[in-house]
Amino acid sequence: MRSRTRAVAAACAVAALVVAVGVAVRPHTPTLSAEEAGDPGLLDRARPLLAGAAHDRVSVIEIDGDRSRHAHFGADEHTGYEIGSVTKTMTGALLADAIGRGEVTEDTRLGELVGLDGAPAADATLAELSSHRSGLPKLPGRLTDHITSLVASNLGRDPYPYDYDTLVAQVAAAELSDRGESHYSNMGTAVLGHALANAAGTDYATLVRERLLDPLGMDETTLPDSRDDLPEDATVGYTDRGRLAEPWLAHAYAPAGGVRSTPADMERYVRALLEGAAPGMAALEPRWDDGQGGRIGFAWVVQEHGGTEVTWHNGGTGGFAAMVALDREGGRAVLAFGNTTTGLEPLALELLTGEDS
Amino acid sequence: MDLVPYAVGVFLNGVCALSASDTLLRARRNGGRYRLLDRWDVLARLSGTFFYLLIALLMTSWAVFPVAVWYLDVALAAAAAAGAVLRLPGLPARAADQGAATRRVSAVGTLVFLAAAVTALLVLGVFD
Repeated sequence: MRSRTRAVAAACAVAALVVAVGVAVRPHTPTLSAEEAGDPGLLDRARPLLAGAAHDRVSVIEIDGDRSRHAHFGADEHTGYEIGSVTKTMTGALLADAIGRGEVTEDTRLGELVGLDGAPAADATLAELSSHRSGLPKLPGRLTDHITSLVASNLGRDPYPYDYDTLVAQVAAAELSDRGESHYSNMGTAVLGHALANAAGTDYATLVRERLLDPLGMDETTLPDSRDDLPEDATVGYTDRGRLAEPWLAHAYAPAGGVRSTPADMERYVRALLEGAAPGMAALEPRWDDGQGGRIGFAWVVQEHGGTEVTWHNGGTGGFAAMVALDREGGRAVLAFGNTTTGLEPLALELLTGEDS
Repeated sequence: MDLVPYAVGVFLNGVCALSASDTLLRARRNGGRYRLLDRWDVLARLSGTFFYLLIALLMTSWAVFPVAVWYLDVALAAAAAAGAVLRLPGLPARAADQGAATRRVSAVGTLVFLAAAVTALLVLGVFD
């Protein structure tokens, strides 16, 4: 009888231990912050579009001519967000700007600026790289790189921990496929950024700082190279696995997605784009088919949406999502940033065009 | 609506729930083929259940998949562990059937792999 009692006690203890550990390591699914600030009308329009999905902090900016409206949930205009692939539009602007300066042409071959020793990618042009038509794969294709990315993405780590030499080796090892057709390539945009920096005799972070961020007064925008570059209260993102995401740092893949910015700074950027005052405005001109019914310029995608021609780019990292959508003809734009991986494209497009996406 | 995260979630958590339920049901039976055979069998099945639990935790897109399912997994695993512990005193340390050696290897292998995986995840701070 005593041994039975001991067994029952041990079973209860084991069950309690399993439950306790299970609760301790449980996935965290964030909910939209109840702390709201900004324009009441925009808050009311944005709130239902964010309902029912995993959000935490979200900032929405609506630009209409000279007027701007902000809607912040758990955030303010100085909250830092990883903007992910919206960074590609900055790299595209740097290409257009470098062409204007006469440093490169859109037909300059990658091999002229980056030491690729005659690898297939050396023949790709800068315009092809910026418009995803170079034939380079989306991500590095070497087995070790695949494993690195797979492990990192499942553990909420930065999947691009590569330095410049590794990036160049990845590009040199890549085969080109369907060159001339649009196939989204982070690797292509990453090496493009460094090629432009090489042409200017500097590094990518300095190039984007001197030619884009400083002229536009985007002082809160950074390319953190290490955790030390992040402020102590840096916004933390949530992975879609329900864990805190490690920040994506601006190593060699920074030109494809390494920028961290704030709603205030991104408003400056987009306002300059709408006014035609940003460096490298030619980047926005749609020139090639994007393979999905739209057109593409230097990174920017142009598509009809609800009768409106929308120029847009989205972004996503391990813990953040971003969307920038412009109605250039109407002088309007909607920007949205969040610290979860839940896409903000439908929200931005609906607020911009009034059409459910 | 992207159905892939739901399909992955159903599969991973389904495997985990089935494994835990299987151990729990075996723990409740004294005879027949469908029972726990020895203490190594208990260890092998519980290690397997906790391994599937870990995989479900790490690989499910909990941003879209109901977190309630995680608590269901944990409850089933806890019940399976408790049931196995209750059965433990009545089980032989090592059965004499043909599969005994395989069960031992399976138990030790899964346990070592599980311990290594959990240690690595703790060192990496994944559960912080």
